[in-house]
Amino acid sequence: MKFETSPIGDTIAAIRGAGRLNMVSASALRETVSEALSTGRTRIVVDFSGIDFVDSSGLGALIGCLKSARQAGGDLRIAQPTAQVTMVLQLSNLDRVLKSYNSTEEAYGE
Amino acid sequence: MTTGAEANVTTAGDRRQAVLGSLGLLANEPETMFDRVMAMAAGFFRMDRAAIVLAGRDTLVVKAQFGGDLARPEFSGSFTEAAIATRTLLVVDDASTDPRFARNSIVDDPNGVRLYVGIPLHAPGGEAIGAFAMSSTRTRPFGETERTQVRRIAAWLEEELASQKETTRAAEVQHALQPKASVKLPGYEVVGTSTPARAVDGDFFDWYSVPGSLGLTLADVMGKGVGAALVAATVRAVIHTSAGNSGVAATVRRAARLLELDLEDTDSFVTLFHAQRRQADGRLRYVYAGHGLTLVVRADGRSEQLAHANLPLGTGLEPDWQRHTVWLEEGDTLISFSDGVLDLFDGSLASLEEVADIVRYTKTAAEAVSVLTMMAEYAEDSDDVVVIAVRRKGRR
Repeated sequence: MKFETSPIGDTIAAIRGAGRLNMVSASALRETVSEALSTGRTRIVVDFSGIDFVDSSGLGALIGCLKSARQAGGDLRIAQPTAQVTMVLQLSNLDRVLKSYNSTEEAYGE
Repeated sequence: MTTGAEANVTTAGDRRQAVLGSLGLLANEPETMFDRVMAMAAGFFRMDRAAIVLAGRDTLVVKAQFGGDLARPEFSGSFTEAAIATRTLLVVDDASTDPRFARNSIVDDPNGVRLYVGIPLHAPGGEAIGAFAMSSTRTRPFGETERTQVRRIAAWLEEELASQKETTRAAEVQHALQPKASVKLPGYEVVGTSTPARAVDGDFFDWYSVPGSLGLTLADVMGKGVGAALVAATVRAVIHTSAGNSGVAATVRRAARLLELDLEDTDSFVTLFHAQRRQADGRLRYVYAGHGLTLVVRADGRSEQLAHANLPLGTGLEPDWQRHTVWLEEGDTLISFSDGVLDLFDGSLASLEEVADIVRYTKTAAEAVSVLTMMAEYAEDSDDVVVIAVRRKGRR
C-alpha cells in the first residue's frame, strides 16, 4: 500500500492510503509518518476512508506513530474509519488514545 | 527426537543421519514450497531438473524436486556423495564421459544427465546433510555468475531448512506451555482450547488452581510467528508467577512493567483478560487490558459483555489497569476468546451474540468450547482461535 501526504496549513499532515493496513503495509505507514514529522508537521491525521481492514500489526504501527508524534509535541488522529476499523479500535480500547473524526478537516478543527 | 542408537555416532554417515533426524527433515513429505523453488531454479538456470537431496546414512531422500528423479536410492556412488565430498560447488560438464558417474542409471541413457551442478547443504552446526542439485540432458558452459547464484540459493535453502526446524520446535514449546492439569474447583467447570492458524502464534490461555482459588488468563500478542510466541511465553510466565501472591490489578501492572522494554523495542503490544476467583462465593475479579471479547451468559439466558476500559500492555500510554468484579451465580457461564472467533461468524460484533447462543444451547462449558473449536478446525483461512470458559455449576 502507498501512502500519500497532503500538507494542511503549516503543522498538519493528512496521510491517506487505500487497502489493508497489516504487517505488509505497516512499515510504509511508519516511514510516511516519520517523514512528515521530520519536516515539522507534527499534527498527523490518517485518513482511513480507503482502508477497509486493520489487523494487530496495523494497530501496532498506529500506536508507534502516535507515540512518535506525541514525542515531537504533536498528535495522531484518525479520520473516517470504516466499521471494521472502528470495531477493532473499540475492542482494544485504543479508541481512547486514537481519536476518530468524521473528516480530516474536523480532526484538527478545534 | 533422540534415540539410543544415535548415541553411538562413529561415521560421517551416522553423523548425517543424526543431524537430519534431529532436524526432523527425513520424516517430512516433500514440501510444496521447496518444490516451487526447485521449479523456479530449473527455469532460471535453464536446467531440466532441480532437487534438494538429503543424505541419510546409506540412502538418499528427495526433499523437493522438479522435472523427475535426480537421485538414486543409494548414497554410495551418487552425485550427492560426490558433491558432499567436494565440500563446494561441484560442476560436471559431461557426466557420460566422467568415469565416476558414467555407469550411474540416470546418466547411462541417451537422454540421461550430461551437465550436473550440485552444492552441499549444511545444517546450522556445519554438518553437510545433502545437496541442492540441478541437471540438464545437454551440456553447456556453466559460467562464474551462475555459480555465484547457485551458492546464494544454497545459503538461502540452508536458512530455510533450519528455520523450518525452529518453527517446529517453537510449536512444541508452545504446546508444552499450555496448562496440563485440569482445574479441580468444586462447583465449577473450567475449559480452554487453542487452535492456532499457523504452527505458532501469539495467543494463549492459561489457568492454575490452588485450593479455593482459580486464576485464568487469555492473551493475544500482536503479530504472528515465533516472535509473538516468545513474547506470549514471557507474558504467561510473568502472570503465572505473580498471580500466586497478588490480586489481578497488581499482577497485570507487574507484568506490564516487566514487559515494557521488550514490547517497546518490538513495537508490539498485548491484549489480555486476567481473572482470579479467591472468595468462596461466585465473585470473579478481573482486569481487562484492551481485550474486549468476554461475555457472561446468565442461567436465564441473558448475556452481557464485560465492561472494559483499559489499554493493552506495551503501548506506553496510560499505564494503569483497574480491577473489576463480576459475580457468577449458579448456571452462569463466562466465556473469553481471541478475535479469531469473530471470523468464524461474520467478523462483526454481531458474532458476540452467536457465541452467546452457542453457550445457551449447550449444557456444559466443554460442549460450548468444543463447538467453537470444531468451527475453527473446519474454517478456511481462520485466524488463531483461543477460547476459555468458566461455568458455575447448578440449576440451568
